[in-house]
Amino acid sequence: MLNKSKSVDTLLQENKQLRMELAEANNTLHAIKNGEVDAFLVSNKLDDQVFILKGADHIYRVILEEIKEGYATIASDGTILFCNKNFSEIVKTPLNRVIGLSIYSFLKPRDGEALSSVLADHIGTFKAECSLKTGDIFCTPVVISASNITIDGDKITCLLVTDLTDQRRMERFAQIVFNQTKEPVIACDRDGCIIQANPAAGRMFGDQLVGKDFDKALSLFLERDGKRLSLKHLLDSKLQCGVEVTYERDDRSKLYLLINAGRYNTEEDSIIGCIVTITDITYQRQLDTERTQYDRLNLIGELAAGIGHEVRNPLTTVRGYLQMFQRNSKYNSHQEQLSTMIEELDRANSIITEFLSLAKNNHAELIPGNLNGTIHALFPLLQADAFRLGHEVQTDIGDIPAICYDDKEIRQLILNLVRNGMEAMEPGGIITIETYLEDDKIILAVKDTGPGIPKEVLSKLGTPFVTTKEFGTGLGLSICYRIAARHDAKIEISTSSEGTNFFVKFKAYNKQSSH
Amino acid sequence: MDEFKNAVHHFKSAAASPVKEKYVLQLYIAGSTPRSQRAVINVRRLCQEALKDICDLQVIDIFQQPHLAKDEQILAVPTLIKKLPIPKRIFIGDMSDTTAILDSLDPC
Repeated sequence: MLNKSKSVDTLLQENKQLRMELAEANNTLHAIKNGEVDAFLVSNKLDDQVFILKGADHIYRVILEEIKEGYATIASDGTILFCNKNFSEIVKTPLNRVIGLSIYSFLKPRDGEALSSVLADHIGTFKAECSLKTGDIFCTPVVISASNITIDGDKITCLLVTDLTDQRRMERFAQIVFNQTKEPVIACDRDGCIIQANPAAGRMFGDQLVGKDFDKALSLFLERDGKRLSLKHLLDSKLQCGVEVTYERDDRSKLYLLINAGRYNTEEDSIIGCIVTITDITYQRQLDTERTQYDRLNLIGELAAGIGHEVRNPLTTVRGYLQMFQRNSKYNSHQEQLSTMIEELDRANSIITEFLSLAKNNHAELIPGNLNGTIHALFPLLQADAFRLGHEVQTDIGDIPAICYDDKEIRQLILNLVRNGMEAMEPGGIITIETYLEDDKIILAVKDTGPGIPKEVLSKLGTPFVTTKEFGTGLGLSICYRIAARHDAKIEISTSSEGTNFFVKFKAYNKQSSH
Repeated sequence: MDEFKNAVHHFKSAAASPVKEKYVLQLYIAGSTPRSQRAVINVRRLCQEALKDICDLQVIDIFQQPHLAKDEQILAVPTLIKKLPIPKRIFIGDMSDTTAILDSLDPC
């Protein structure tokens, strides 16, 4: 039955629409009948299924779609014909927007040029590290590998794209750690040639390390036997960690180092090289030495406090009686012996006095003043001593700020150091007393031109009762160390065949701790 | 090739109207099969030459993004759908007959 409610125009329009839909349906059937389609998409309530009409390539397709790398098929003009999800993720563009674009839109001009010759001529291969465009900037590091294939007469190029972002991030992280670490780290190849050294290694051993042989570039000596360290020998031995060595710098200062070395292998266990890390333990050694010395002094100080007064009292009594006998004419024939006995008692007493000054709990009167003033006041006495021994004493006074110190004790310290120096020199020697500022410390230096201190004595210097002098008490330097400790100062020594220098280093006034 | 160029010229003349509508095209392919690849090449060329600057093309791989194909009730691929301007048009095959496609894309 005809629907008379619709107008002729409406009906004509409907007719036209129907004809068009019919034509589309016929076209679809025609395409299917003539094998012009590849696959059917069938959707039901449960899922969507794709039925492919040609090829047993299902597994290969899935591999390309699912591999971790980005994959793209490129036409000779650079059009992306196909790509997998990972490729679209690498270039951060939705998958349905990537296919159909040009690969050159993701490459820098230089990389695009290199790739285009492979695409256009369809010969050769391309493998290179590039930066792919992400958004507006070329910031994604990748490796692109391209190879040409011909399928059914169509020439296409297959691209495999590996994202290096994570790898680069790890490399940057490792590089930052390598550069920032305080310890020197040196990497060598299998022949012991330095291939990388971090900035800490450069600061310790000099900048020109790369390319040099490890053993030749670093003169390291084993502490246990003094022999020169050989890297190969170290790696072959069982003990590769915590090996103690010494290193002499250009300025002749010595460093004490701990070496840890380990081979760097491939997974198949063939050796690529080795990594050496070095820890500077010089300061720790110094502290250990000072602590040992300090402990010794403390022990002596305790003994001194305990024994000193007990011995002095009987000496005083004996001296008193001897003086009494001296004044008695009955003993005139023994005057010489009595004087000798009194002199010996006085000498014993002065040893006890020196000994007592090592006592730990001696109180120092720290008053603000300038060391130069004390030196100036003491100078005439020092000159007299020098003249007596045929030496010369001179001063080189610098502009130094005030510090808190006990004038009496510092006089004692200077006297002891200067007298030690004078006694060490042959006649004609020169003692120089200097004061100057260095960093935030005030330096009082006493320098002589003697023969220097032998190595075996140097380590025991400052130990009570250790002396090289025939009539020495061996307490002078100990007293100096004790006085320095009471002033929160340190004594450092340098010695050579041209003389010995004592440096007493005081903290500047406003940095001194209060006593 | 001449036929193609004539069709392009004809289309351009016919479509020379003051207001140029944007064409929204969706091409559904089946991965990297030869027909799908040819369809991509042909449609891309069509967009660049005949619909330059007025074409928004999406290429959807039904293996990797089947959910996008579901709404359009795609039966077979390759299929090209003109979504805009209306009326909607559907083309099946590798799109090598660009003349027929261009004629059908004509909105009038």
